[in-house]
Amino acid sequence: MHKPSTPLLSILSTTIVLLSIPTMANETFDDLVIPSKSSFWSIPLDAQSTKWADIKGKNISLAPQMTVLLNDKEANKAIKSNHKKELVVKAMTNSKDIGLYLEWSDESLNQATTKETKSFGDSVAIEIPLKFGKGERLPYIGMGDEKAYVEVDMARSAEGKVIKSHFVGAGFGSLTRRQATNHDMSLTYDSNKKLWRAVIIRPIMNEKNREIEGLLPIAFALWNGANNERGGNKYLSGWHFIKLEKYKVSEQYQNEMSFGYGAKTIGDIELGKQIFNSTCIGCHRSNDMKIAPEGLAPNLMGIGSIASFSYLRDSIVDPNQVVIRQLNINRHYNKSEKPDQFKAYPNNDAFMWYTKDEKGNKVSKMPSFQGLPPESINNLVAYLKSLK
Amino acid sequence: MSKRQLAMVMDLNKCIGCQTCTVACKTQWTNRNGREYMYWNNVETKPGPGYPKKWEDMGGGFDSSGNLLEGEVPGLTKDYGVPWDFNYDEIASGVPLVSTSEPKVGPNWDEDAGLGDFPNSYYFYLPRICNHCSNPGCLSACPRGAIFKRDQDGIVLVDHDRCEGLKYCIAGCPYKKIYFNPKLFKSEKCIMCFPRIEKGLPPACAQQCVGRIRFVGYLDDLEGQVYKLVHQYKVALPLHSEYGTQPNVFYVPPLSGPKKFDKTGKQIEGSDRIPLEYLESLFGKEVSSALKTLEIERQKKKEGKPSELMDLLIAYKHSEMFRIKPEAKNA
Repeated sequence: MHKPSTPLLSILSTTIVLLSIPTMANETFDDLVIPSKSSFWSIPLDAQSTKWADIKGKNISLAPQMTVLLNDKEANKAIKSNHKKELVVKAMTNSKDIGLYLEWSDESLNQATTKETKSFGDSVAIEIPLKFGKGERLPYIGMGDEKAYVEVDMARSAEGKVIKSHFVGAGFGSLTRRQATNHDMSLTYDSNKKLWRAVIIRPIMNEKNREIEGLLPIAFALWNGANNERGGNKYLSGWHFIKLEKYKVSEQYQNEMSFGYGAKTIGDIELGKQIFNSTCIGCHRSNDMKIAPEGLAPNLMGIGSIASFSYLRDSIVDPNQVVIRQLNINRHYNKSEKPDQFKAYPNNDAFMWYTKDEKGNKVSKMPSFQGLPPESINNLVAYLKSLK
Repeated sequence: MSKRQLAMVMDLNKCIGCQTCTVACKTQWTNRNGREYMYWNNVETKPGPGYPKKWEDMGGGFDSSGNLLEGEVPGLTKDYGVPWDFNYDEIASGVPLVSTSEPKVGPNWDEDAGLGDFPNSYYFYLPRICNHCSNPGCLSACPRGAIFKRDQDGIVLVDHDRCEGLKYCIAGCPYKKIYFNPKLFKSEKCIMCFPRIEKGLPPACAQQCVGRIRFVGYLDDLEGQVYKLVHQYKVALPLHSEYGTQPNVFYVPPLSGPKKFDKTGKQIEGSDRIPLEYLESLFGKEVSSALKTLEIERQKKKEGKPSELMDLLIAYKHSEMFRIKPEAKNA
């Protein structure tokens, strides 16, 4: 069947092999750390302030949200699975506040308007754990989880104004608005340079934190209104850390957070893929295996772009620690069950990601793979982290 | 999933397309605060693109296995039509009455257009409200769980405290009967006039219906017209049941009307002016047996014989068309 390889083809295939060598080994914890500059004065809300111009930005990569698929046909069509967005982040602190300068390019200005039902405003948000520090694992990247809440500050562009929102969240769909008088933000579009600039200012310390470890966990999200992006249709980053200049970085906290990063290799990607393809694909989808029905379990396409090594390890070893809130349990009903007297079919439990024990605690449907040899777990983590 | 289900039956043979229901609803609920473009109740001409324009091609609902399908969000400018006004202030000075903006599309844009060529053209009216489905697409699509179905009557409502205006519900509803309020940044929909229901009154659209086409009652009220028309006589059928949401508004399909004419102007025996296939595309395969039942019962009435079905559909007493209060017999 195979024709003898021509020299050109063999060069090509060598190139492909070289390109597919994981870049993971190069990803260090430093890549996740955003420096900050401390200031005696107030932090400027104006993105054009020279104070911001003096700070060097850090480029952060954001990937499309694919863990759950929403139901807007046009928004879904616009999802490019391997596409990344670059966000420039600058951080400034004073005695009580932290300010983030965020800049990203966008070909068009999109605003929510009262004159159109189908208008979606370009938006940006930051996410910070409600509680962080030594011994606290990071919340689930998608709006937190029920054991680790997040705070979200969001700015959305609307006709003639910026809609500023502050939420707390414990997973998909759980965001709940609350007052935040000490938070502020600005959002402006530069039509010459075709880019957005946002500044978000908020207290460094939040209500649950009594100690600052020198590293403030933070994640970012962007919405492009031109692609109907809103809610779950968005680009997001994994957890990053702002290094607070005036505070000492806790070595213990850094060790906890940096698990897996900077190592030459945590495991063998190919061997991990073999385990994945023989064990996980019945429920999870990956970049190249799409056998599982969409929604049966979190879709793992591009998971390596948003999940940390430690999250991936935890979710394999102890899935109950990281039970994710279901998007909407009514998205699948069971046609093989008998409907009620009004023809309502019950929900399809196969698509539930968890059950509940007698005490009402959510128990993940995913079994623990703690029993796997440690090197197999590492191989699996290495493979999942390579899915970008 | 709800303990009881309030439902509506609309007899399309009696609908004259007067839009009194539309106006009753509009003045009651949607004439202000970003709802100006919305018609929680509309009456469209079928065949026709309807309101919003071509809503039947916009997706949503469930596949045959019960999985939520993708859908589109209609645009105000393109699909609903921007409400326009007239130059009332100027006409006193002799200027002709004209619209103040150029209308492109609207809720009743294609009224009476229908299909077919004279003398065999045909159309009928299809009034539409929210179907208060048993497996609602809007409720299932909302990522925030902001839409709920009331236990006591199955009315589907939006919790504005939880709604963040994400519009996935609008993509999820295959009937496009949930609307985005761009001023309030929330989704809004037909509420089956629940404040009226709670007082034992029918929804405004049904109360005001000139043709007396609308019956309102609980599906488990075995003595009610709704139960009898849907389950006993099986002449009231759901619209597009293939969308998989189990709608709770039912339609008595239109009988075909005068037979078609041939080239010489003679009526063709046994011909259907409204093609059966078209009615089946809306109301399913059960259309022909429903029409047959209607014809048989109508014939009985013509011959002076009793027909409970015809008496029900004629609705001699307006007050008897609504059974909002009675308790379920089998609940």
